[in-house]
Amino acid sequence: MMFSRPFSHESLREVRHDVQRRAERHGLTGVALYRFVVAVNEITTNAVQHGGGQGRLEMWTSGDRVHCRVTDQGPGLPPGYEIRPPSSRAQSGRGLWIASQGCDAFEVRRADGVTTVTLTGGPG
Amino acid sequence: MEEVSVDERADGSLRIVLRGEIDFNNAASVIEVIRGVVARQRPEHVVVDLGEVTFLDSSGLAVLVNAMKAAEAVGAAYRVEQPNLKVTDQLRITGLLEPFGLAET
Repeated sequence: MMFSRPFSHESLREVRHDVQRRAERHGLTGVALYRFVVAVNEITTNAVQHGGGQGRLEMWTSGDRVHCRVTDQGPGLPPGYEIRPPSSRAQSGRGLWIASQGCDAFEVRRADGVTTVTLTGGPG
Repeated sequence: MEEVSVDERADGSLRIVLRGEIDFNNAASVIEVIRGVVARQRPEHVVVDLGEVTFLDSSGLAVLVNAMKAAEAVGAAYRVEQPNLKVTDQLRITGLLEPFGLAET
């Protein structure tokens, strides 16, 4: 069953708690659950910060996997942007790295003015 | 602010206790509190206690990095204590265990 909701700055925490509850109900626990929730939260936060202030989250399951798709109308990643480990002294720039490291699959697409990030997590 | 409290010790150390969820919503105000108290007290040691932290996002990690820089600016030693297993995993992924004095032996 697909879960779908819009989000903005005010609802970032609420969305994160929604994702946590649903992933937990689907069997994710411990570090695997935390990594997935952190990953999705980075993408929704990016959408609020850089993607026009709002977006939409969709969440569904397949087998023991959980999937989230986050869409926003922002400019997306700069051309040629590489997701790489941040310097330990950097002020920022850790978000996409921890998001990409926290899931089994991580994909960013840009088409027709919409940026779509799809994340897949599992029981670990 | 309930997410952060500060305890100045007689031995010249400053203990900063963070609690709950540190994220994009509250990170800016938490770091403002930490920067202010470190610059004012000029302690010899700054310790950040994460024992009661349940969630950190990349803004929360940036709070810890900024606290480290604030400590360095006054010549204080810096370390992070008591991250739970999930936060420890997150610090490992971002290469922050060693800079925070949490390197595994």
